[in-house]
Amino acid sequence: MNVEAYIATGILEAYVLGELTVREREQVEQQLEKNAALRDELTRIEKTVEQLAFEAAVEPKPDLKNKILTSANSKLIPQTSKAVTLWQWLAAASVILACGFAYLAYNYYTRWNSTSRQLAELESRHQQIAQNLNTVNLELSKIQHEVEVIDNPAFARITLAGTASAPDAQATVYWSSASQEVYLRIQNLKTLTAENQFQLWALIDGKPVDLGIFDTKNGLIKMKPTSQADAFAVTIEARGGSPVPSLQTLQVMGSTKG
Amino acid sequence: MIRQESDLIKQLRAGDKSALSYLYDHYSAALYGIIFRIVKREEWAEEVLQDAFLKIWDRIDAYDESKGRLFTWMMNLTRNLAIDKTRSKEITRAKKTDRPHEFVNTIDKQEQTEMAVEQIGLLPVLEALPPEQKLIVEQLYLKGYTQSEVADEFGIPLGTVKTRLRLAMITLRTILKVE
Repeated sequence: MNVEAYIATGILEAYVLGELTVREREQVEQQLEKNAALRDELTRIEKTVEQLAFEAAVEPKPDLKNKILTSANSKLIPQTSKAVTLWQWLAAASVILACGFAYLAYNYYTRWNSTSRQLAELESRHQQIAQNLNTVNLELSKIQHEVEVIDNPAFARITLAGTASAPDAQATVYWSSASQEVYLRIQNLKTLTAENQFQLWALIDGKPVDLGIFDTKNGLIKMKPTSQADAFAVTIEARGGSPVPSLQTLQVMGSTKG
Repeated sequence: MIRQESDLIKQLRAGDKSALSYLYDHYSAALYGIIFRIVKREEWAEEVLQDAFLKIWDRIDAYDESKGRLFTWMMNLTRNLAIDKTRSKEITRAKKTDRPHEFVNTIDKQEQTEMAVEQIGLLPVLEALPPEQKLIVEQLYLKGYTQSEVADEFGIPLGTVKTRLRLAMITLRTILKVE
């Protein structure tokens, strides 16, 4: 190839101006690889164009530099150069800060979690205590009511003593003929099977009248009201009660007269 | 501090912003001169300069030293951005939205800008060239036209455009003291 003739066509100038087709470019690049004289000529053309651009330079406004430098993104690539720039320091500092904040956030999150767990526990304990208090209050008002009944002179206290079939049995009836209220208190009655229940009777003019069924429990048991009673008696009946008392299961009995 | 071009490229590739700063200090005026002659408006020229430096920064890995000098690569990248700008819709829109009562003003402003560009365009070094070569250099390097555009515009055969440019470059090489 005649290098001088090739150069004289002006193809290198067109190459520098970026005016060649892809194919033409590749051809020029192949020639350049092979030929040092061609490379030197290319460099001279480039330097001339560069020099011309400097001759034709126009200074941009001074504030433009900062704008451009700040909008150039920091590149996140492995650091190979030893020169650590301010930007890299800032980036490193911000990563450390971010890690610090993440740790703090995690820390506060776990603390918040455990605090809310503790709060939930306290709340449920509080609820339990309130419930207990409620139970105690109910119990207390029941006992107060019982005391009122026991203390009230309007209520007659009738002791029901054990009978031949249950000599150790004992119960007490509190009865107000005026208000017709009847309460029963168990001192000692035998334990029943699930099929049976106690039943309280009032004897009025020799006839038994049902005053209700009950199970063994503490405190006063409110029974059916009656205005009259010559005596009170407790029998054992099938669960649910019986229209007539079974006399052979008579447990306790007591008269209202003296 | 004068840096070797190869070091500068390495630093740019490593994401060293001080290298970008150096690059700006040395080449912004040369590139801005090219842009301004093509887009002819300060606000657009500033936008193009910004785009150009950001593109150089982001795409420095695409630059191949074996195929030419750094400035050649930057110059072509910048000139293409400037040409794109003149063709962009933004300019078309700006022309369309000019209202009649603003029109006179706009023309005045444009003429002022054009005059400023013409004055900027006067380069003493080009005075040494024969007029037909000077024209070619101005059109290609200062106004951003392609060789075939110049050939069409002035009715000169493309081959003649190329040889005139070639001759002009040889003369300029001496004037500009390129070794």
